[in-house]
Amino acid sequence: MWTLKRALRYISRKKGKTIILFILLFVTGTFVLSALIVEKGVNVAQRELRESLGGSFSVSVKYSDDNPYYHEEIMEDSAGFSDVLLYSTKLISADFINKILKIPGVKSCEARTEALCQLEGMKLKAGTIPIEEEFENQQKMVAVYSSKDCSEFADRSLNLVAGRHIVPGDRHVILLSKTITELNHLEPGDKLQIVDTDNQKVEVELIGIFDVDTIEKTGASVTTYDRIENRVYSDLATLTEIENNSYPAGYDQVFVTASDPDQLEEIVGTVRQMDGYDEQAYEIDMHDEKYQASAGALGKAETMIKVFLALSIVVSAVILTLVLVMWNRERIHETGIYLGCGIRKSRILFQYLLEVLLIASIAFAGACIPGKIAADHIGGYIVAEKKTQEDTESLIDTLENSEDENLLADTAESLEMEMKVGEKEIVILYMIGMFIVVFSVVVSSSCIFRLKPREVLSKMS
Amino acid sequence: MELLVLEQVDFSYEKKEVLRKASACFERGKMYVILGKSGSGKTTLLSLLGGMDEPKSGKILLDGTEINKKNMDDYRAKRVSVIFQNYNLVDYLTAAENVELLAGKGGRGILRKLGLTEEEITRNVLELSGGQQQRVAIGRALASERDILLADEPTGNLDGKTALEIAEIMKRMAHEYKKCVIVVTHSLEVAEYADVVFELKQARLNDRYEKSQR
Repeated sequence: MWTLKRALRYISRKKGKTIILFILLFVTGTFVLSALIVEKGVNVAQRELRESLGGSFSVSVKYSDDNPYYHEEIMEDSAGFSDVLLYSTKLISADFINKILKIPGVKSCEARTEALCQLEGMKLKAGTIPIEEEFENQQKMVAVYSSKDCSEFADRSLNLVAGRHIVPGDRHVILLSKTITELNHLEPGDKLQIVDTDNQKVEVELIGIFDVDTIEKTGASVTTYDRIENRVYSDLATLTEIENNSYPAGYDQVFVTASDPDQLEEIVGTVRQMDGYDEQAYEIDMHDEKYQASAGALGKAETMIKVFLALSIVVSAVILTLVLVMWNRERIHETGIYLGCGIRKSRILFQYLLEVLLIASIAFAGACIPGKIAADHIGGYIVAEKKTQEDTESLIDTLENSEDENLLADTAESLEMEMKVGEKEIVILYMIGMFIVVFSVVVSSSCIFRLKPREVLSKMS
Repeated sequence: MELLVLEQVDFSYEKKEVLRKASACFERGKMYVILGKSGSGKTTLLSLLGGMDEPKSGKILLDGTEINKKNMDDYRAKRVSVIFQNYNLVDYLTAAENVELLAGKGGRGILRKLGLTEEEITRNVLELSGGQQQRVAIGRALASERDILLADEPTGNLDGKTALEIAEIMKRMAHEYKKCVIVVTHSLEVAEYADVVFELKQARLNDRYEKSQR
């Protein structure tokens, strides 16, 4: 008789034992599945929180004597006034930024360098502070690597309303404010002239218009060139041309944002190892204070779920083993008969295993329903606890101060969305369940199968 | 032709000697009975003959080849069937299914020959009488097509009339099916059905006597 047939006969005719095993495995499946779903939810919530908290670092050119490329020049004008020009001949190149962007986990790079420029025939919105005549028609030019990653655009204080952003590789392009384009009747695609320091003209194309969604913080005391409406966003090539400097072009500083602050140290380590990174010329500052402040609270929830899952597995395996050991007396008798019939020990063990596996496969499928209900309740409880626990107060404070009012609500919503029984959880449940079953059956049967046939026979009687 | 041979077999449990220099020959087509009181070592002798234990010294030969650790599993699986006093049937299977453990679908025919009705054949074994259960156990042994049948007090739990019916069936198994049937028992009535009788006493297997010689 086939092993499977014998296993099916056992299940169908030993109804009491089948029901006991079903209940036990059903409860096991419910606990394990609940733990898996809650773990998934907590992981998603943690990831969302980490991404929301963010993590960044900056690579800056050192303006100190440690930097061998650093120079100080005293410049004297015709009137006899002197000024000190500080510069480094080693700046951060666009190529270096490209390499940083390719590191896994890097979300964006913001690189900028600033100068004053003059757009020919441009009407400007006047400032409130009187300035020298030579600066009256000057505007602040911000050369960016990618305008959409600029902090002003990223935090929505500036919004692109027409045209497109400046992207890496652009040359001779600019963005202007809506106020200025309306004042000068300009639209994307128009060509404009920038007058350089030697009165040479550089032609640029207006590719985008931005609207200013912020109140000028300086209020009444702002110069014309400092007014945000008068700002010109351009590319590095254009700025380098109008400045007409002899040293290589580049950025003073690049802000790198990581998708997950957990990866920040790894990314910084990679940057330090990259070709083009010069420890003497550059310095790196990490900005992950918010994440570090909340890391302890985030880790605690994860540990709690892992302990719950491990306990569920261990307790289930122990109980199942004990139940099967209790039934060993009967099984010794059966084993002796099968041995007497010439059925090998391995096949007999396989039959015992099949019986429990068949019951387990049905019990685990059934466990999906209470598992989901339990997960919903536990998930809701965890969200509530997260909001009230003393340990997480610092985290919540951080979140409340993060200027994103919807962050907590978004996190709770995403947690609820993730608390679903998915294919992955079911596969893991079955894998864990099969492990528990195999472990319990092998351990409980080992005291039978290590006996010699003669000993089995004597125990039978 | 000698099928199974015991040569100078010794066996003991710690300090208790169970068998001393036991020798015997067993042939196909004959029913053997080993008589002995309780605790005389009958079941131990059956375990040795069934390949479930090894002698401390001496040899057990099957078709002239010694049974040892290497071939013991094969011997047990292919050559020997054991019938027990308490029937040892699988309690969640029917009579037919118990026999089918060894015989496939042919088990039903054997059970019918042993006197079970069609309804009894499909009944759970626990719902059968003692005699019927022992018939199923014998049927299972018979169905195995193994040439050596060992029976350990097969009539111990049966009333006198049924015990003799079972003894008769085992005799038929030896003669009609050309099996080597070895029964250990303390019942002299069952011994009456044997072709050859041994007596196990004080660790010695005494000289055999055949029915024709008595």
